[in-house]
Amino acid sequence: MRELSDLLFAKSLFSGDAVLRAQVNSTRRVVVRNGVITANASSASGGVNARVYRGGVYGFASAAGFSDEDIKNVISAAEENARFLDSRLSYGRPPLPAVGRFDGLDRPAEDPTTQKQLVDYALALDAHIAQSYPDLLSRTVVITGLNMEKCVVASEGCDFHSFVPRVYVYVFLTVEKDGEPFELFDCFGGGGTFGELYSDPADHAPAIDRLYRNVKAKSEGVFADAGVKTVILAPELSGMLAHEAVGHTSEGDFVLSGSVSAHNKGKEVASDLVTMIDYAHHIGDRRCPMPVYVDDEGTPAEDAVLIDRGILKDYMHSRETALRLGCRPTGNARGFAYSDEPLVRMRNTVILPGKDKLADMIASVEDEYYLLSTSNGQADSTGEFTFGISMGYEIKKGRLGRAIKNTSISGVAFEMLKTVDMVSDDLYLESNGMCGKKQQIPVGLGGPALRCRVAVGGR
Amino acid sequence: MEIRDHAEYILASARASGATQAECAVTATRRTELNADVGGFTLMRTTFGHSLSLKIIRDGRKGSAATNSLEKEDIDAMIRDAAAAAEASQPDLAEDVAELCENGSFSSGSEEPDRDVLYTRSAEFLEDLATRWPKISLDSFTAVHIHSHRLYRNTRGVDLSSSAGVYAFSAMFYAKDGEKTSSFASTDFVTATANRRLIECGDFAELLDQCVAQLEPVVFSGKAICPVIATPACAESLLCDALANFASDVPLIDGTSVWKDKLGEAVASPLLTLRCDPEDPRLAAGTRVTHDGYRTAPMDIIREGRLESFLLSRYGAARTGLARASVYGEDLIAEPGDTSLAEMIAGVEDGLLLCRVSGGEPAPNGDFSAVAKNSFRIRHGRIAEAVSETMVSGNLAEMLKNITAISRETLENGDSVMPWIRFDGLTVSGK
Repeated sequence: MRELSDLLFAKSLFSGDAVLRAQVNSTRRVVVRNGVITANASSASGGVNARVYRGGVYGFASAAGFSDEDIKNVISAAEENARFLDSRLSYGRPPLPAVGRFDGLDRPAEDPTTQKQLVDYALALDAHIAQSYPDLLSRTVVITGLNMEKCVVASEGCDFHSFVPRVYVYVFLTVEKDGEPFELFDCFGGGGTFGELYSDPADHAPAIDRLYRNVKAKSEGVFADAGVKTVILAPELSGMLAHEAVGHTSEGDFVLSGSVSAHNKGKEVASDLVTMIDYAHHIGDRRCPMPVYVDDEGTPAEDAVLIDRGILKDYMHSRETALRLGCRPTGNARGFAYSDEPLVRMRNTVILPGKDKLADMIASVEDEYYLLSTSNGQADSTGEFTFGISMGYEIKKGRLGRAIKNTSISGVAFEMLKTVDMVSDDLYLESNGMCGKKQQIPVGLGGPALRCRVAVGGR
Repeated sequence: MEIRDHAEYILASARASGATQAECAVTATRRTELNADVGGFTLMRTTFGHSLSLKIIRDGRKGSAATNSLEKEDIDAMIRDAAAAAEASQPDLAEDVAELCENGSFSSGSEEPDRDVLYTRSAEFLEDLATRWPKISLDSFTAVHIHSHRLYRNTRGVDLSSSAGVYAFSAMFYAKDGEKTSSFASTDFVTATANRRLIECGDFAELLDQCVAQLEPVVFSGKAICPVIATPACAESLLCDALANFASDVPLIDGTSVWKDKLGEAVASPLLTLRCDPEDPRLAAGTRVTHDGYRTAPMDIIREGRLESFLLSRYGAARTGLARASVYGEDLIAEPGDTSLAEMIAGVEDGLLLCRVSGGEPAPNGDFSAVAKNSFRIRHGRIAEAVSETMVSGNLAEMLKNITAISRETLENGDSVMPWIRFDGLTVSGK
C-alpha cells in the first residue's frame, strides 16, 4: 500500500467535505482437524475509497487499486453519487462538525510471520492434544490472523496511518457420551502479531487441560432449569453483555432511529456498581485489543462513557450522528473493508471492575448457576439481549456442582443491569469476535465477573 | 486483460511452481447501492472489485491464497504464497480438484444497474412506510444491484463460468410509539427485474404489520411443552441449523453428526420434503457452479422424511467415502403441505407463532435454546398477544420428527421457497 504522505495529493481533488481511505486487510488461516491440515491459506484485499458529503447525503465509491487514476476515479464517482442523491432530495442539511487534531503515531505495518510458522504451531498443538487426550471424538486447532492497515486523508479531519494486527488460536474439543457429541472451544490471543503473542505451543497446555476437563464435565452435565435465575457471569461473559446489551443500543445511528437508549439518557439504567466505557485505545497504560486512534472519518478517537455508576451518560458517534444529536464526534466511525463506508461501531466496550473477589461471589449463591463461556450474542431494539452459553456449572450452597449443557440466557438490559449486586475486581479483555452490522468488524470487549439475575433457557 | 486471461496465467504459473494440481477462481463484481435510514436516503455507493483465489496441491499437500488485485506483482505474490503454504503443509490424500465433466457458461439477469429503478423502488418503499406504517422506525434499508461474473478453472480442464445480475432489497425496522419499542424485524427480497412495488414482495408488509402489533408484548408465564408454528423465515433458519449440524462437511468428517448413519432412513416427519433446486424459476439467480468446480443440479435432501443426500463437497465426500452432493445447501425449497395456514392456526389450542429465534448456536447433538423474537401467542385457534422474554428450547433432530403440519402457502423471497411449519414438543418458558 502507498505511504500516507503519498496520498495527501488527494486533498487537491476534493471539492467539499470528503475523505479518502486506502486500506489493505491481510488474513491468514490454518486449520488442523484431527491431525489433517484442512485449511492453509492467506489473502490480501485492498484498495481505495472516497466518501463525499453533500447537503445531508453521502456519495461513496471504491476501487481495488492504489494508483493516482484509481484515486481520481473514486473521488469523481463518489461526487457523482452524492450529486445524484442531492439533486433528487435537496435535504439542505448543515455541514458536519469539525474535529480536532491528533499528532500521535501508530505502530509501523510490519509482520514477519510466515505460513510455515502457523502450520508448525498448529500441528504441534494438535499433536499435544492427540497424545494427552486419546478419548476425544474430535479435535480441531484453528489459527486465524487479520491485519488491518489504513491510511485516512480527510478534508476536515486528521490524516492518519494505522496498522492493527490480531491473531487468535482456537482449540475445539469434542467428546462422545452415550452416542451424543459434546463440543467446547477456547481461544487464546489478541491484538498483536503472531511473533509478539506466541512462542511455545506448550504454553497453552494448562488452558487446554482446563478445556478438556470442562468438556468432559459438560458431557456428564444436566439441562439447566428454565427460568429467571441469579447467576455469576464470568469475566469472559460480561464483555459480551457490555457489547450486546448496552453497546449496540448506544450507537449514535441506532439512537437516532429510536433505540431504548434514546429516551434514557441521564436516567438510572443500572446498579451504581456498573460503569461502562467504550475505550478508544488505552485503559490506563494498557493498550486495548482493538485500538483506534483516529477513525475512518479522520476524527481523533475519544473514550465514550456510556454508563457512569448506573446513569446512562452518552453515546458513540460519527460526525453525522454527533451533528444530529448535538454531541461531540467520538471517533467511532469505522469500515471493515476498503469497499465499506464507515458506520458507527464499537471499539473496546468494557464494564469496569469492582471490589469483590470471584470466589466470594460464588460462595454467596445458594442454588443457581456459574456461567463461564459464550458462543455468540445478539441485541434488540427493546434492550433485550440474548447469548449462547457453551459452558456453565450449577452452584449449590456456594460450591460448584454439576456442569450444564448448552443453553441461552436473556434479559432486558436496563432491567437486568439494575440487579447487579456484586462486581469482581479483575478485568478480562478480548477481541476474538466479529460484530455484524451490515459489515462484519473486529471489536474489543471485556469486563469483570458480575452477580445478577437473567432468564436461563432449558428444559 | 479479461478474467479468463488472468485465470490462464494463474494456472500456468501454478503448474510452473510445481503444482500437481491447481484450481483458481476469478470473480469480477460491481455493486450499485442505495442506503436509507429513519431520516431518509443517506448514501449512494458504487464499488468495483475483483477476487482471485488459488489452490495448489503439490504431492498431496495443499496451499491456498487469495488477492483482490489484478496487478501482476500481486498475482505473482499470491501464487508464491499458495506454493509456500503447500510446501509447509502435510499430505492429505483426500485433497484434489474437480474432475472434468461438462464445461459450460451460465448467465442470468442484467449486467448494468438501472439507477432509476433502484431509486424508484426505494423511494416507493419509504413512501409506503411513511403513509401506511407511521409507527415504524427504519433502522436501515439497502437497495443494491449486484452483478458478479465468476470463472472457475482447474488443471483437469474444468472451465465453468457463471454470471448473474440481481436487485436485492433488505430492511431492518421496528415499531415505536412514545417510549414503547417493538423488537427488530428484518427481511430481504432478491429479484432479477425489480418490476414490482417492493411492499408487494416477500414478507415486507406482513412483518411491518407484526411489528406494530408487538408494541405491547406480554411475558410468557411459566413453562410448557407447546406446539409452535414457525413462519417461513424462522422455519428456514431452523432447517439450515439442522443441515449445518447434521448434513454438512465438518460434522460428517468429524463423525459428530447424529445423521452420520441415517442415509436412506427416516430423519423427519413424512410431511417434510426438502430440496435444493438452483433451476427453480421462483429464484432470482440459482447457484449454477459449486465453489469447488462442479455444475449444480436439483437434489432432494429429505424426501417425505427420508434422508436422501448429505451436503458434502468434493473434499467432504473424499474424506467420508460418501457421495458428493450436487448442491451444497443453497437454493433451499421446502415442499408445501396440504393444510392452509388458517387451518394450522385454528388447530392450536395454546402455542406460539414463532417468527424469529435469537440465541446460542445449537450444540453438535442439536440441542438449542433461543429467545422467541417478534412472536405471538396462539390461543384457542387464534393469534393472540405478542410475547416477550420468552425462550424456546428443544433438539433440532427431534424437532424435525415432530413436524405435524406444513402450510399450503409459501414465502418466495427470491433465494428460497418456504412454507409455515408446525413443530410439536418444544419447551416454551418465560418468567
